[in-house]
Amino acid sequence: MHRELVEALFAHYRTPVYRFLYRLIGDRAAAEDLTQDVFVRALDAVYEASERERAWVFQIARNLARDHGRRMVHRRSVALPPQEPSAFVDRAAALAVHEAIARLPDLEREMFLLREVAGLTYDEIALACEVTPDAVRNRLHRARLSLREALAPPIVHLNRARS
Amino acid sequence: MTDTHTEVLSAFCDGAVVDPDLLAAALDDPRARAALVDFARLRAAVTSSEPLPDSLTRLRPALVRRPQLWAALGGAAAMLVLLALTVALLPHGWLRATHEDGPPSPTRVVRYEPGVDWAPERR
Repeated sequence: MHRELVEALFAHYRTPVYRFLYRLIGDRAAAEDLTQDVFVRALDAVYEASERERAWVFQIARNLARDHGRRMVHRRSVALPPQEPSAFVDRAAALAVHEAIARLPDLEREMFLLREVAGLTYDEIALACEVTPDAVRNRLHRARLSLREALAPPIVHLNRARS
Repeated sequence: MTDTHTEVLSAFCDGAVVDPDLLAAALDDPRARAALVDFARLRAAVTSSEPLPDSLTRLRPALVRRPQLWAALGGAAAMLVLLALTVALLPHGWLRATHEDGPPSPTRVVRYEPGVDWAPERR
């Protein structure tokens, strides 16, 4: 793939890719490295630009995150630090959400983050995760219900952190 | 509240096309409305305003990827195992043949001193 095209993809997608990877693996330095790896790998790939490029970029990111997860399988118990929380939640609430997301099944966690952090559509998530759009819709619904249940006590306080 | 209600609301949150009548029914349900608010809270909780790290200001050159030391060590170990297996599985005759084809090596040297071990023939 031409470097100029990959540079353009990097400029356009590095932020959502980094935030997706950081949320997914919970390690800032590894997320930075993997973000670079996504686009370095794209340099070696055969791909023609299309409207599906976002799904393709995130498919690479997801695969690299899975490889990373397999290498780090014995270190999964390390506490996951929260990112700089948004204006709507405090650090404790952000950490609770982070931990609840970490406990989701792998595929549901990936889909939830692809949707909520990276902003992918059902069709794009389906391509990135190699499932059908209907499966994405169902899994996202299930993930939201699981998170709601897991966060039952703190979630009602999430919006109070603003005051 | 039914799963159908929350499913419609979840899909609506995702920008999917939903049945307006089902959406209206879901919004009439107070518990489904509470679920919708929680879905919005979850989205707010994972939204980050953190700036991008400095390391991601530029794409690194492809040639300076991190060296995979473990891969190099693994390759070297695999080569050693392969070499050991090759030597172990070679027919023993091959190794012996190299010794038998050439002249034997001397195991001791016997020296004869003139006048001690032998006398010159008298004429």
